[in-house]
Amino acid sequence: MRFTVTLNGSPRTIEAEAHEGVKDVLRREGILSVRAGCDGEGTCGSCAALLDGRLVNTCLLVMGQVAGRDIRTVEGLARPLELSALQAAFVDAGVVQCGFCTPAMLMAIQELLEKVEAPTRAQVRDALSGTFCRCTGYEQVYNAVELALKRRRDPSYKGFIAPEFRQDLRHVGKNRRKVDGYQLARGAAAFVEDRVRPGHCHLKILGSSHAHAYIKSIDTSRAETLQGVVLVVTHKNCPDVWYNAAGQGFPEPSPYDRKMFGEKVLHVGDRVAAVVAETEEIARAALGLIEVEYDVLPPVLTIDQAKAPGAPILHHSKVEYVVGAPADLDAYNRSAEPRDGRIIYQFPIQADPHSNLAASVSGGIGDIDKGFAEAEVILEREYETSQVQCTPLEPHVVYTRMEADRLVIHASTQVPWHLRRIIGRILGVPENRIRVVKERVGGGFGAKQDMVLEEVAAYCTWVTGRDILFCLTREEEFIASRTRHVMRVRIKLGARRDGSLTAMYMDLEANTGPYGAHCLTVPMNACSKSLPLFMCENVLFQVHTYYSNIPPTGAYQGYGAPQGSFALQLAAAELSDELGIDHLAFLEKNRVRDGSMLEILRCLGEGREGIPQKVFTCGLGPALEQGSRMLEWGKRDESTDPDVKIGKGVVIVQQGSGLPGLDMANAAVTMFGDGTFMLLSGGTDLGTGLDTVVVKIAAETLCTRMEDVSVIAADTDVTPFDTGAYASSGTYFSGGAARNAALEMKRLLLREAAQMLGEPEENLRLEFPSRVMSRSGCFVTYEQIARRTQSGTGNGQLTASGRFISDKASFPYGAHFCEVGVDTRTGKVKLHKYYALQDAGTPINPELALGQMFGAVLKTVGHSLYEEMLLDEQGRCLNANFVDYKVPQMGELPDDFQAILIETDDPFGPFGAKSISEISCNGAAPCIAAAIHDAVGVWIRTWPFTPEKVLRALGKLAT
Amino acid sequence: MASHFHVPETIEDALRLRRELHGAASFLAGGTEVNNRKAKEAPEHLVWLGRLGLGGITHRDEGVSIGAMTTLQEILESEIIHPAIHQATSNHANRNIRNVATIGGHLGVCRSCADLIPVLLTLGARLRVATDSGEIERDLESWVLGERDGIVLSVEVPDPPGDLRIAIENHSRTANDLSLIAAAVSLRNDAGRVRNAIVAVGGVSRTVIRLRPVEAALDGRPLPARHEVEALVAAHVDPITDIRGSAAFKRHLAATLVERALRSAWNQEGCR
Repeated sequence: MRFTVTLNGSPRTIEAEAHEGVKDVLRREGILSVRAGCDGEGTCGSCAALLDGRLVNTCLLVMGQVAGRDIRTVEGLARPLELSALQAAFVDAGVVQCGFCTPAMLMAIQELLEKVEAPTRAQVRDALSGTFCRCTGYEQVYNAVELALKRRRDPSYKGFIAPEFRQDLRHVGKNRRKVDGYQLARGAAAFVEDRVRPGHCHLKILGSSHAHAYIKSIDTSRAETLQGVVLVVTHKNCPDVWYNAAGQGFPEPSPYDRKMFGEKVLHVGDRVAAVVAETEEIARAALGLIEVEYDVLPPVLTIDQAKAPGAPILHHSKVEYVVGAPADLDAYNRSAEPRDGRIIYQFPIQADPHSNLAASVSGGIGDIDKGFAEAEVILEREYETSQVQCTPLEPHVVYTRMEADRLVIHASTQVPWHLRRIIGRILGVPENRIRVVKERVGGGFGAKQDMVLEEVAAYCTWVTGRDILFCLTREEEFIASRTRHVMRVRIKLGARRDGSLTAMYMDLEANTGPYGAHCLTVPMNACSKSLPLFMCENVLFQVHTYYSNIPPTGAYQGYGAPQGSFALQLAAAELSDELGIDHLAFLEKNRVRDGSMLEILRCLGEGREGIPQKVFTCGLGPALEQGSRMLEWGKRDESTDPDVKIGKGVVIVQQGSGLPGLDMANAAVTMFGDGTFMLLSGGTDLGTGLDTVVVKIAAETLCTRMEDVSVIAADTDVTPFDTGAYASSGTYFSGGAARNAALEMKRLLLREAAQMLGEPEENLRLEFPSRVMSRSGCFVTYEQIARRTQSGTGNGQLTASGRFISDKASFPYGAHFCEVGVDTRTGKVKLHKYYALQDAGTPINPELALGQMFGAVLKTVGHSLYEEMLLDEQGRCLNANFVDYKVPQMGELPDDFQAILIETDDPFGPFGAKSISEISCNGAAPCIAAAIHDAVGVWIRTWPFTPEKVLRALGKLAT
Repeated sequence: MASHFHVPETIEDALRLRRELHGAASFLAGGTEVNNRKAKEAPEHLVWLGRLGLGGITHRDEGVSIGAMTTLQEILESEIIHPAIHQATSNHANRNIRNVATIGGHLGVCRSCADLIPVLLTLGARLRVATDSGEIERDLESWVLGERDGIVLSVEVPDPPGDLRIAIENHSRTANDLSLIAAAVSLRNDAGRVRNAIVAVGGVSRTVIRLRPVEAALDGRPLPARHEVEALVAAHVDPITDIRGSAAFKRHLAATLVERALRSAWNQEGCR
């Protein structure tokens, strides 16, 4: 049928079926900004557009409903090479992070501003009530709206966006439009799904319907003969290569305990078969034609079930070690079950897979028994965390294709180089035949640190030569991508009456699910990013991680630290209460500070010996001081509602800035003919602003304008190696590499200028904008240098490279404060105030740094109050969608939500910078739990703190 | 997903299509339910009601008439709608959904947690319904509890008597969630005694229900103390345990929210 609509102001005739979804038709018509994040359930709002001026989810409409009507999308907001005032305000305010939901947010505010002259905060909140954003924490949208309104009258209005830092620097520490802001705010082609070419195939996975089973038989013959089916892959015809999907530095501290398809399935949704077909419909139909017979085994779902004597064993595999095999390995392997395959350890991680133990580690400092003997008060508590999903708005997606005899992988990944390495090994293809292009990533949060689907598409393209799009559904994203490890943490603390800690014991058990990606390091990080916050001479920790048949776990922003921090910080709050000491005073007394020596880190080295670290800068003092003033710590507040009790909480948090001794980043700078530059960065920007960080650092170092430095990043053919975006390493490592490459370019510029000016290099300096100045007052411009070096008598185009490694760890520190109101009759916890104060060294992008903090806090308010994956007894997830799994959105924002940057000058990071990204995930759970106790006198030791749990703790529910 | 889309121009055509297509067709209003790609059963035929002129909110002699195709956002923006309906409407999902979802669709799907049904019950709303045997008027409660045949043409909300007091309460996990429990009450304070109480609750049964035994127990006496009211309500709701909460929790919540709504209505100075 032909439909006529007005599309972005022009009449458009569209050929479509009346029952076809409007979103799909718009995308077919080249409108890329309507994106999918919820399987067409209408719960994420990513596909929003204006229909006759009203914001609608286009996935919930069919073409017949919109015939003759007016449709506007973000593509219609501005002319080419321009941004509308609203788009510009969004970028300026720092509210564009990954950009996946940015078009939807923009159209929501567009509708509002067309209807309301000067909207209130409540109206802004209502306008965005249906848009799910996992990155930004929404708060800065208020600033964006205000900027847009002010600019109506005064287009040059700058306004206050975020504090700026380092008055001695031009770009670093200043608020600048992020370099990918233009592309993302316009909804331009940017993401993997925007790269597909006509004629590509679709890949769909047949997921296991059982949590634990052997595949007794599998018959794919009917699927293979279906017209349009290109390839079917199962455990019978996939590569016989064992690997780990974790995107970690090689050799990984995670077991190689999986194949592309196993003969044994270990979770509901585990891969049974893949179908590649000409269309998505055919692929789905073919899945239905595959006949599978299972030998069903009892599922193991909890830590207690996994460690119970006689428990069903997930990996009764033949174990191999690359190095460090134990002497009794042959005896160990005698009982191995062939159908369970192999496990290869790169080095020992104290695993015992035949007892479901995936990894273990223990260590400590001082004498724990002596510490407890010296204690006048001892507190022992147990805390538990449930499974939560990262929920990037863009589900995992990959597009693979052949270019001549080389494989090209368009990926939404945090680890392009690890991806290339692992896929090369699985395919038996050298790395020079594979190109990984990291596209804009629609939210990563750790879930995209792992190879969740790329190797299957890559293999299928390699054997068929076809272009293949493989995208997880939202349901698959819940049950078959990555989630936060479930943990149970026993804490025992000893202290003197004066509040000084004498002993800390942390006994941590983790549930890693079916495969051991990050099984050692996530639980270990729960210890290494929580224990060093307190200065105590006697510390002991133990970690045991178990396999189970729950949906896979892995990395999730914070990487174990939110769980460890929840347990230890809440135990500290409980101990303060027991001691009758003000919680803030307790933290002040025991906390880490400038100059502290962190000996405990020697035994927390990711499977090898760690490096003890001295704390060079610690902003906790000013953070606690300022936060307590803002919250009026110690002042009791009463609600006007007699049913509501108010309480306050405080915690301290830390993270790292990458992994010293493990991470490595590289960058290169090339000078163009007119004196502008191309920066090639290995760094992987996930929407975090890393590309802007590296451009700022290069422009600052080279005394040039930011717009004279272009960046290409994370393309394995084009840019140099980088371990990837995880462990909060981006600014520190990738930024450090950009700094070193730019310093090398500076050296070359001085050398060339010295020759051209006939003066010694020591008389020369770079001067903004883009010239080399001599003390004598003579100068040459970069353009002159470029023309000369690239002439027939020149020294050649200036290219410089730099790498960054470090054995120093620059820890970001923070203090979080909150005030909650607890409704004692419904159990509902409302966040009145939340203040995150963070020492990030020199914040390179202040407005984006604040956005990261708001986003991290709101994300973890999620697991504190709302989020929890629920499994039935068979291991099936009962809430694998956004109707049933509730995430915090605009309506859950604290009434007063502030992020504050505490400036310190780190001696090692580029321009004194430390990391931003993960640390603010670590405060919400313990801070809110402490505030709930302050309000109503009960400790809730398992997250999320749902109304039902609060009521039970208050004794108000009959069981 | 549906494979046919019908755009009837008259009510009769719409009814005829549905009749002829038997169970294979679904009426389509805004589409937030029917077009949901995760819906368990997708109808083969969609019969869209968007060309039948069923929109608009008008004030009539003794009440307000809300056309079935009126969106929830239009209700929220209307100045002639009772404020308690506004409040209930604002609890419904979010802006994106309210811009499309219609009152007719809301009543057609008739979820247990439907935000607008409790408040419409307390206001004594009636429905104009086109059926195969002609246009009829039905009271909302019979529609909710009984057969839901035909096409809702409009919701007729009578102007409440000047002394009617209305209050609503709801609980959802997040602002964007479906209401877990939605309660609405109306009553008159007749010289210190409760009269004509209507207590409607969603989320405790298959549909929204009126708690008639509670209404009767309250009649003719001052509003009892909090615990007595809560116990009364708790004794007359029988929710199920599901992933959103245990039966005990939902019962407690229903008792709390109904008591709050009753207390709030009871303490109101006057109404409207």
